[in-house]
Amino acid sequence: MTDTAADDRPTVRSAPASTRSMADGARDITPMVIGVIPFALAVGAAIGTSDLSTAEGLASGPIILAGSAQLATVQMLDAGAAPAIIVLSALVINARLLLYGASLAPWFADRPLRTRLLLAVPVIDQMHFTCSPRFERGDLDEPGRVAYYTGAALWLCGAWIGVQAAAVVVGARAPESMGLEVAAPLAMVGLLAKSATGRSPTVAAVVGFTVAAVAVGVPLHGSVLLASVAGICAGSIASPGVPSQKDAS
Amino acid sequence: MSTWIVLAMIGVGTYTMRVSMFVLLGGRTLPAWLDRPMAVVAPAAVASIVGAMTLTAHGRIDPIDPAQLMAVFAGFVVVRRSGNVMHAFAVGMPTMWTLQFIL
Repeated sequence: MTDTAADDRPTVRSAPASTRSMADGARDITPMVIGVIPFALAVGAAIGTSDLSTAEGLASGPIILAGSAQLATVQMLDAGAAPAIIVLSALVINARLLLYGASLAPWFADRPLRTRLLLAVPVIDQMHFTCSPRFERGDLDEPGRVAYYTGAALWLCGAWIGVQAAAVVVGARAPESMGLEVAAPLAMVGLLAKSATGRSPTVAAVVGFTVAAVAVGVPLHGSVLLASVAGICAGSIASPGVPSQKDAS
Repeated sequence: MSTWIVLAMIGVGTYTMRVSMFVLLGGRTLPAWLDRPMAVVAPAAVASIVGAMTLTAHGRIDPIDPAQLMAVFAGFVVVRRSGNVMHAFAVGMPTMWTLQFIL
């Protein structure tokens, strides 16, 4: 085993460069990581006050790896909703990950399948927001993109799972007056403000936001999916045909 | 026990959605006609979640309290100007605490 590792090492010629890309990815996603920490605390607190066992609560974070769906799942489990309804609702909330996957996957087209299977694990809003603009600059080769993506993913997911686990284990009971439950919408609205720049993204966001409220009667959190689709359609039609210019900020 | 089954099914289903395009697309890129829809996926999807979180609860229109709503709005405005998502909390939480104190 050690021999193999030693033999492999010299073949990784770009080791310093890929280490730098990994660090870049971690650095660039840091504001988003800090942004999800209160969200992770809120989810941990929600688990702590629910009927879920500690083991179930701890496992739900890494298993789902998506805060909005996890929060809805915990709330619905606690409310005693039917299992099939909980599963379908969570999957409807997470349907957007399919589209994030479609936008991220082409950057890793030449990687072997098993690498791509791993790269799919951390597909989430923050990864899309951090990596897509960076990759579009076009100065990273594919190994560099893998390193950048991996660095961002490890830092984001590590912080998300770690903070949440700490909150569950310690039994974080933030005082009611702190209003930690606003952390989830605050984390998402920050991402919204970053993404809804320019005409068609703004149209998409306004329609998505509105339909999510108006269509609230649709069962299984279907309003979220319906609103996303409506927003995407509206935003596509509103586009004047100029290619999207995402800020790299 | 059924909690574990629920979590496992959500985990498998979510990963299936995450990975499907990594497998199906293989070495191909998306056709050009999808460029415009793909560019607005994130704002549409995130706005839908924010709308559901702030304006609805228990399957009906039931907004979060006004101080929280203002906090979320303030968070949106400040991040829009600064481009830094951390500012949503830096401004949103004090906004909410202040409003709750006043109201």
